[in-house]
Amino acid sequence: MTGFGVAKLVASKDLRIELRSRVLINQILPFAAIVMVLFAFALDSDDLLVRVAPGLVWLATLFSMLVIVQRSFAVEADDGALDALRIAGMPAQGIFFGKAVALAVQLLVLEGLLFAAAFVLYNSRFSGSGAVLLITSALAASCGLGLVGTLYGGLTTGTKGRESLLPLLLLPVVAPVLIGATRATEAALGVGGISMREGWAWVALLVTYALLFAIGGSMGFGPLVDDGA
Amino acid sequence: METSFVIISYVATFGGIGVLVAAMFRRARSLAERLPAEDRPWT
Amino acid sequence: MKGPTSTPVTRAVGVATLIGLVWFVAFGLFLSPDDAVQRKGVRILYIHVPSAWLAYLAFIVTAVSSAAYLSKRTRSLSWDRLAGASAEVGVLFMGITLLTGSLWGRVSWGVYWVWDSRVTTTAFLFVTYLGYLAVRGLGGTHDQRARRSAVVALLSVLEIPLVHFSVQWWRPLHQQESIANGKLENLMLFSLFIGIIVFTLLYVWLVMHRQRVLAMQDALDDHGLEFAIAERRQEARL
Repeated sequence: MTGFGVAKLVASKDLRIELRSRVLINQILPFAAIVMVLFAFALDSDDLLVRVAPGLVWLATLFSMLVIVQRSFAVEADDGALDALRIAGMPAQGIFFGKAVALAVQLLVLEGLLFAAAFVLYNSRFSGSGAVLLITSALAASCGLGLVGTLYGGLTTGTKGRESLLPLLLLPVVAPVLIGATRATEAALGVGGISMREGWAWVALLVTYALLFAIGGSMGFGPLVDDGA
Repeated sequence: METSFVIISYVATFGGIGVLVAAMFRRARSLAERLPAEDRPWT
Repeated sequence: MKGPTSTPVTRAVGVATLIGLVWFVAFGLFLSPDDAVQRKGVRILYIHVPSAWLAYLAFIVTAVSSAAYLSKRTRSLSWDRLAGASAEVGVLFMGITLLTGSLWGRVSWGVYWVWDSRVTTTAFLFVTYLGYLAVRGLGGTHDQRARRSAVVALLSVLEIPLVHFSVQWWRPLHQQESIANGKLENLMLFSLFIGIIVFTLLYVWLVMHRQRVLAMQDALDDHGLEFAIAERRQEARL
């Protein structure tokens, strides 16, 4: 089976599990929404909320992502499914990209909800060209986050006690995504004094990030999850 | 303030290194006691 | 110091380091003059700059030995232990760098922390390598540990430049090189020079010892049960 076919299978399997169990919809999206409400309580100023909305959306994305990643690999680790896939001769790259795509799709759904929450709760607004920038940056950021999340999720899955390591490993690595996506979103929403051109430059950073980790991940994922000798 | 910051820097640096070196040697001794000499090819 | 990990080489390096340290403290604290602008604060730089240099050197060594482990031709657990020992020493020097850096910043800029790209990258490197050391402690066989941690070390090589550039881009107005621009007197440069040599010697000495401690730890894990039983007997007799 080709790597591409495996990727498609793994991605559709993950998304189907998600659709049937509805953990994202029933647990993670409400969690993200309550985080947005709590930000409003903490900051307690309408003007400030409009200004910092892009950063809050992406921060909430990162924290929710930790939960999604753990969930994405708990599904595999429970019955040794990941090992079974590897033993069946599935290429590691295929599994890696498949899980990364599934993760990126879930993140996009999450970001959609978070932006909706920002419009309703924080009164954020954007123009037509802003919408294009917003969607492109969300796509690029989700790809980067999906790849990196899968990479480190694979490492910290399995044995007990490893899960607590995920935030320590993942959060420093995704810092460039937080900076890039927040700046691009600020440009799209017209806050923070960032021009559209700068916003697109930040999208270029997000794309570079995703490409680098696509290459690094396709080489490193196999050795990371291989628990055999 | 400057003088005290300089002193803190030097004391923290060399004190920190000293504590870690002492801990490392203690660990080395306790490991060496439990291992035969052939596990220490450098000696 | 004479311990089970000492050899004539480490002893020679150790003696040189000790003599160097005495020199370093003498020059750094007493013999070199105060700076015209930074006054006494400059003395913190004699520690700060060499330890920053060493922290980065340590992580380069970790990355290179991780790559050497992953390459099939040079695969050996010695590379893995060198990577681990170097990262541990690197974290130590990184901690010293951050501490002395913020003390120096308070003296000369009036603040402990600036969002400068170099400062921020250094902090990220510190946290990343704490994560690396945690990955080393995940358990499993020695080969699993080595493979995992080598991949994590190489991924960090990917991460750090990205962090650096994004922070630089985020806050373009960063503080200029404090050493290159300032006019340091001869004696100050000399103190800095001694610092770099002494800290490098210290690094070599620490890594040699630390790597052997790790080798003993691995050997003990390999012997496993028989030693554990003997140990319990020993305890019972005490």
